[in-house]
Amino acid sequence: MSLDLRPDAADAPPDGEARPGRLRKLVVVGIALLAVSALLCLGFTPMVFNSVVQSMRDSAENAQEGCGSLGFSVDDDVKIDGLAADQLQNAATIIGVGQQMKVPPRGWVIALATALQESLLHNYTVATDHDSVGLFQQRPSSGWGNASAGATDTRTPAQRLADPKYASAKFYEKLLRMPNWTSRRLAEVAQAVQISAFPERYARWEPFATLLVNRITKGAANGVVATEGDPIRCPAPGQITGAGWTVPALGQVGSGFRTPERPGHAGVDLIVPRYTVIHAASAGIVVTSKCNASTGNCDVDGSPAVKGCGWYVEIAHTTGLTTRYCHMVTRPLVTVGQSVAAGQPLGRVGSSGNSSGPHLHFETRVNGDAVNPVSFMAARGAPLGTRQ
Amino acid sequence: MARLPAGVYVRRPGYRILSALVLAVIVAGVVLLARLFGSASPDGSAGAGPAPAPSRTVSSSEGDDSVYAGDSPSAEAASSAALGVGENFVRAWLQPTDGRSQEQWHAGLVRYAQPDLATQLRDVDPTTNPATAVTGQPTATVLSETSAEVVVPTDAGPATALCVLTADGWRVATIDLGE
Repeated sequence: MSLDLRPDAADAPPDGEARPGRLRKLVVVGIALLAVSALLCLGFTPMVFNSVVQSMRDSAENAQEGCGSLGFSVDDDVKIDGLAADQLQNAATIIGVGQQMKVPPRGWVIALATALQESLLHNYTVATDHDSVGLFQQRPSSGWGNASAGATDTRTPAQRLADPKYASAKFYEKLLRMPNWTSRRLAEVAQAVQISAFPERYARWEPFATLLVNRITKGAANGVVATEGDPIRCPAPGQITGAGWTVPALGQVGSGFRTPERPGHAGVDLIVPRYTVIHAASAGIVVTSKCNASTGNCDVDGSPAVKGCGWYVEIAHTTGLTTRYCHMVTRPLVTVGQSVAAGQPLGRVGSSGNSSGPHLHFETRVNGDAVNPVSFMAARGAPLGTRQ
Repeated sequence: MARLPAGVYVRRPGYRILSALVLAVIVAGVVLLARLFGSASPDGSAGAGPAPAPSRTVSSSEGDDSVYAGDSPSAEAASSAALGVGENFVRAWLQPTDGRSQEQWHAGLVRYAQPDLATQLRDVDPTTNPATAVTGQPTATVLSETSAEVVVPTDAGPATALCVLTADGWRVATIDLGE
């Protein structure tokens, strides 16, 4: 490329006749340098490209609010920055196969997160890692791709797995056989189908997979759907959105997040009667389950004079998200280290700790920093408040 | 504009230096871009001295009726205990380079893992784990008195273990690899 540079002709030396030997040497060196830099470019391109999708993965915030109603129409014209045509086509294929098989939207999110991790949604027809092929990098040596009995399909297992529709259908078949797959942690569910050495990797893609489903289907991940054709609805406690979230309890939002009156209020207070069941807002690992009170006693009602959030539970979800549930009436139902499903009961509403009456103090945090639970939950299709 | 033979430019010393500089800038640019955007991190590789492992604590006492942290002296203790079990787990979980069987590999990590995680890893082929060695000091971020996230640098990127304090002691609940 540098041989195209032409300095000003006026500066050209008078002895214009080239000495061919040196010239040839220079040309050879130049070509070699060009080749090396071209190789470097090619070698690094996938890395740079990966970083685009990775930054999308890390910053994916679901901008869609409300509980979508168009969830079963696939938008063929959608464009997503950073994704090439083949990747978008494969994403639409995965969703389409899920719809044909009557898999609810939660399954599409799980399938997309898995395929993003395994292949970045590129259909690898030739194995590059062991004998893994296709969108889901399924391995014929592990039994993937075998023809069902009596089938007329004469392709080899590897050929079948390199067919995006076949590979997606096989993924869903195994997914649907797992108990409670719609509410369990995405990493656990994807792991049970895929069997990776680092299961948590799948979960990193959950927000981006959710965004993809919402963009391609106009919001299917943002609500619950019982059967195809039903309108997509906001979840009641225990019903899980495609994004994997539900409401901890249905109740009016009393004291809000960092209001002028209470600038230090790091969550919202949901006004719900004593003994109401508190549900995990999403699946995760319990990282705290204890009594937090300046009196040391959470088994009696607290008061504004007591410090602390009483009997409480904290759950670590994927990608740096945590939720916290305070003032339970008795010791929580879950213990530290336990893997909880979305909607699983954590305890019951009470008034322990710094509390003047029964309510659920609910916090949502991103990398440890408290964010407004009202907008946080609305963006996940599980808006807080009273319904029904 | 009259075009002179290519040799005229190529033979000029100033041009040669210029072209060398241009190439050097291009190569440096490519490498820099890859460093900036790529997943390989330049630091944290082998050869780092025995620097003390830094640890961070995510603030957990905030707001009026939120968690009261008046009596929690155990953040440091949590951090060092979690670091130990996190690093032990990751070392047991690396791809075996000494011919251990799949069963031996799994048996080696079970005692550091929560039962759920041990089950998840039961059928894993450890030769598919690209990490074969620990390449630096582990670090911990304390999430609460009973949990911390431990990051152990490996030759295939950082391994991230969520460590939790259970009735049986500190255990690893989840494992991730890469940025």
